Amino acid sequence: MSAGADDPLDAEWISRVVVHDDHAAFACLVRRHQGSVRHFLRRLVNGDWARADDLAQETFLRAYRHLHRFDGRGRFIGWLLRIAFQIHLGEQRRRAPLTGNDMADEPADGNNPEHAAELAGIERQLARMRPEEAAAVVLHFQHGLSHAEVAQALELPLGTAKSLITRARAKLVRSEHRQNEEPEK
Amino acid sequence: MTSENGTDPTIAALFGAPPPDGGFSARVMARLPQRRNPWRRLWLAAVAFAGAAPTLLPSAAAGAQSTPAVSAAALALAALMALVWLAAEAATPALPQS
Repeated sequence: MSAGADDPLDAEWISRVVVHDDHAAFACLVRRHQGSVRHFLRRLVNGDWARADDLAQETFLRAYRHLHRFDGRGRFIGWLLRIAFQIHLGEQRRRAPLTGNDMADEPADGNNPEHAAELAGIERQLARMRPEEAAAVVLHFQHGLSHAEVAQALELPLGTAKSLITRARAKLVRSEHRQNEEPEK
Repeated sequence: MTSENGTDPTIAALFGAPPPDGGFSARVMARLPQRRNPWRRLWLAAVAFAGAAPTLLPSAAAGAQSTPAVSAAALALAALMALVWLAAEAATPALPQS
């Protein structure tokens, strides 16, 4: 079994988990990728960071149970983010749809108020997008996944992924320009 | 202006930095199922058998002297399984660190 050929460390840890059920190796994988998974989910759940962390925990538990299915094609983080997106979609179907009033007024990070305002703007934009579109935006712009990797993670045709990202980029740029043009209060 | 992989650094900067671990990894590891180890299962079965042998084997049919012997054999088997289990644990090579 080849695993994460792009990253030898990931490949080594994955092999140890699959062959020896090595929990220490799985802990290394969690520590390495938890930031990316949680960051991804936080953008999709419109500021509810506790919920994002619950979904991230479920992501890693599911990854542990199905790690033997990772075939090594593409990066391991792409495979993890795909699981995270599926869990997010499943949870969304069980919950009532969010309205604009359900969103957190501000992100939980109070260290940088200016950046917090920008993040809030991003999250408002993402909340208006369809789940696949929002996920494509986050995967491409936040995590630097290529169009092909985004398509694989979201199980979309490559052309669809490119269209989603192009349309979303235009929306984000327009929104940013509108924010910059608004007079200061 | 886009970077080599087509992402826009201006937009990317808006998303901020990923969160620190803050105990998240420990929380995940605490929820993992117990390690799969076939030797551990055999050891548990041997211990359970050693404990249950006096009641499982009717002393009237097997003879009063044979029941302690069966328990001793089961305990010896349990000890042997424990040694094999410890050897299997020790055989796992050292973990590469990032």
